[in-house]
Amino acid sequence: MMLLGAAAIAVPLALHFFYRARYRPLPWAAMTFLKQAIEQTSRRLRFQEILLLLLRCAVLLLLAFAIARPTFSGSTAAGRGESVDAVFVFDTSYSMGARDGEKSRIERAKEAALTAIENLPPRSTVQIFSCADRVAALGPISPGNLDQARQIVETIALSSLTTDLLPGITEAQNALERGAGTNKEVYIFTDMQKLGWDRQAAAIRAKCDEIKQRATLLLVRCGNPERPVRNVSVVDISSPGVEIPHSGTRIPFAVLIRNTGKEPVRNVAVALEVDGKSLEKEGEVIEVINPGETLPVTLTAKLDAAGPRVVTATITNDDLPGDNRLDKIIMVRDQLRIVIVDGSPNTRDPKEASSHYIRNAILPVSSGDLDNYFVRVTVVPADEAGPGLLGVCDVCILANVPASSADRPGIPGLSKEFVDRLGEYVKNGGGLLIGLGDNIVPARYNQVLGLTGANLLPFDLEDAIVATADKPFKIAPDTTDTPSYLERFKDEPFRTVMADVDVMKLIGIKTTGSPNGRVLMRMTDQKPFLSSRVIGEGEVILVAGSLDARWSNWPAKAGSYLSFARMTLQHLTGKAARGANRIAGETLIWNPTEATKPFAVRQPDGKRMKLGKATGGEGGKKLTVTAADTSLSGVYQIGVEDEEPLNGPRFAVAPDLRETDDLTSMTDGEVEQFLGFKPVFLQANSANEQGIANERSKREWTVWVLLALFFFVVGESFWAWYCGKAW
Amino acid sequence: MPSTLLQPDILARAEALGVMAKQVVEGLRVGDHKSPYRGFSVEFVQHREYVPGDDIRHIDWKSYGRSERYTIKQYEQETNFTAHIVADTSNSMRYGEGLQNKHEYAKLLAASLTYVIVKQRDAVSLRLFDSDWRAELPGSSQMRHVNVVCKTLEEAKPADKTGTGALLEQLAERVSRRGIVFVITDGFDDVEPMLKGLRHLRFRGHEVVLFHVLHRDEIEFPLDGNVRFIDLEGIGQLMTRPHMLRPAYLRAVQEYLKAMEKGCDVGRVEYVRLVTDKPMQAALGDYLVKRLQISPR
Repeated sequence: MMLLGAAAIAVPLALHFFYRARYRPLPWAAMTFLKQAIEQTSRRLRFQEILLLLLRCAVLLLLAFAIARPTFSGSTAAGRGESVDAVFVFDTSYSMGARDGEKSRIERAKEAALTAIENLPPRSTVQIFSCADRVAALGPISPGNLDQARQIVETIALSSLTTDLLPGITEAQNALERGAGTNKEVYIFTDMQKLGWDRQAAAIRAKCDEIKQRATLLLVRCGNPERPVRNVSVVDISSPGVEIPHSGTRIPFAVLIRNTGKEPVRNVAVALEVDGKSLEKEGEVIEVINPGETLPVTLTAKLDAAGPRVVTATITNDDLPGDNRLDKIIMVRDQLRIVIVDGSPNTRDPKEASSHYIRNAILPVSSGDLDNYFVRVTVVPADEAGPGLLGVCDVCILANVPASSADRPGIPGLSKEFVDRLGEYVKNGGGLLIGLGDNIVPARYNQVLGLTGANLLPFDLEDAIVATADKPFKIAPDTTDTPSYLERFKDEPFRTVMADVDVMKLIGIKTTGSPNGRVLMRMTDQKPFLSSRVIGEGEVILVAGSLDARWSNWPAKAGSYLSFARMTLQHLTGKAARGANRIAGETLIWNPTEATKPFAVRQPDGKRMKLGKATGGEGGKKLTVTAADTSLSGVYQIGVEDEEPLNGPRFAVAPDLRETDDLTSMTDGEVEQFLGFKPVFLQANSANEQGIANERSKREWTVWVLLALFFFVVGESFWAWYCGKAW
Repeated sequence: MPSTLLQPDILARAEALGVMAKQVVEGLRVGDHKSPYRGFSVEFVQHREYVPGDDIRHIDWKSYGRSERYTIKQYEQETNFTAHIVADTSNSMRYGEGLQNKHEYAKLLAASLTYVIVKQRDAVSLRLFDSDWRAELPGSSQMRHVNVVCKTLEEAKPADKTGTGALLEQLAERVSRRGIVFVITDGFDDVEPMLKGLRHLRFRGHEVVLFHVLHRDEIEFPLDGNVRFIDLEGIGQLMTRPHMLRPAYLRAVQEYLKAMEKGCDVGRVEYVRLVTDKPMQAALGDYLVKRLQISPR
């Protein structure tokens, strides 16, 4: 429109030249004087003509500008009257659920969006996107259907994801491309959480800059800047001791809560329940939790039946409900079956057997109670260890077992069949603890169990290293890798007892050349002591020393050795439930045994989503069902689509706690500095309508153009009069 | 059929006033004009001493009786004069509408002068010119000569450029007998050659009157709007907005007119500016009155 109007400046230009042909012919005699006059005045005349021409061009140009209702920001920004292609991007990270006033942030966002829709000029369009760390197009199907847009806005739900504005901004830019109009506005309804801007800062900056070129960028602040959010998160549910969950027991759980806000929160009620059995819920009220403080709240839960159980911790009395609930699936067992393959059994003096200390550590009960204890330990010499043992085994321990019978003459080692089965066993989720000793020949171990063999070792072994009697090797618990199941050894009392262990001999570990291995703990001279490797769904823990008392006094340090044994068992057996505990946004993966029918998933909000048929299954690959949409935290269950209710595995999806680690919101000035330009800032509140209207009218400079036009017209008239009133 | 150039009202006034030669002119007949040839005319001028060779019939014997010296009695001879009317018929004279057309105005002026001069028994010769002589009628004082002059004037059509200076020079060389030369032109020519021609005529003893015929537009330039000026003498055209040029134009015209007046004054050429919006009766009348007032008669 404006360009069309601007093209009108061709009119005076055309007239300027056209009028040359419109000169009245006049035969004239006194040509000499005329020529003299022209010579004297031609420069002045030309100047006057050009000035007049410019004035007239300027008048038309200004008129065209005025008709186009020009605006200050962006070449495509709309005035109040023209239709607008609006793109709404809703921040649906769960920090938008914060109630920092009478209304929550998302409620304010919705109200602001509805107001914005109400104030759109006729024939405007809207495209709505939700965006946390991923974007979803919500509609409407026809962008011009504003009624549908209103309904969509009213049904927008929060996710349990973190804020990352880039996907939303990128999609908004794409939506702008699709819009046919020239006046475009991009509204981002957000609480301006710093996290959302910082995660992909450079890309966001570039995208916003591109949007600015083609549209008006409106940032609608939905948070209450005067009221900081009081927030306490449920960070984790863990077992505070070394208990291994088994049926029929009530075991303690530590519910870890943290105040991520900037104000103390009082009277926080913490509750724990299993499988939603509220009657057995146990709770405790925390009087006050200060900003930044993390508190473990120990609550017990009764585990009735074996199998995967959902333990749910909830808290109340803060402003942000999105992280007030944490579900965790734990594997409750009737029995824990452990096979210890002993490389140096000794029936006459069991204390001399390599399996003695580790067995006793695993079975901390008197011999009379062994039958009632949930852990069943089977100790077999190496020559009796057959692959069949691994079929009914949760954890396998190799205690000073040669890799093969050929390693040490007269000492039986692992059979090839057992080694082959052991590889499969670990890949399928089994736990393997390897303790070394005098029976070990490092080269043979590397050959049989290392990379060229069963590929189970975290690292290749080197020669044994012996300490002097007066200067034993010391374990350095401070070197414990975090996060790991052993990280509690960094804290007292585990730290001291671990550091007290004297190790006289250990096998060297070659940490180079095996990218999958991980050193969990080192000696004080940095030699690796404990290492691990995840293989498939299982894991291997390697102790560079012995599990008996031959190479160290570790078994005698009960606080250290027992703790290590229990933590390792807990870790290796808990692995079975690990895939069932996910964070919002992560994909749920299940391997069904048969896949003749399509599958579905039930989401925490009760909705069922079709997943289709399982993939894979050919060439030995496992059948796999995946559910990618896990934006809500809570319990998901997968099953065959026809079943009601679904009978497949359950998954506990936790909210992405990065969202509430830092709830700092950026100020307008910080956002402006971040972007490198000033977008339009609006506060989502009752005055939003006026704010948008003001913004649109503020952007218009029609009045100024008209004023300039007036002055130019006056100037042109005066000049035309001065130059002779007309062409 | 009487010529349209001889308008009774004009002629009535002009005839009454007559044309008085301001200077002594040569004449073939006895008329109202003083002749430089002193001889036997009726008006005594002076005595002079007899010198051998003088006709003894002119000796004043009465004076001899009183002074015993031979003196010759001299008389001033009244004689007819020849008026040479030289009119410009170049294209530049075409400007103007109707009676205000410079060419028409010049023709009317020439015819009127002719009539008046012949009526008082003086001779009139007519020459029309542009870049060259286009018509030449020898001097005659007979009344039928008026008709010939009028017919010639009526047949004259403006053409070609002006070449006033050179032609006046030619005229000065060709006309040996002194008379009165009326030059009727708009003067849109090179000023200096034109003045030189006029001075040459003056030098040859003629009384020279320059009728400078101009249109009011040419003096005051009251034009407006977009105008494409087409040169009447064919040297091109100019497109301009005349109101923008007026001050500069008026300056140029005034300079020109001053140069003309000053040049004529220095060369003792009578300069008479005639603007065509002034009726001929009034214009010619005013001129003749003025001429009569300063006549030595």
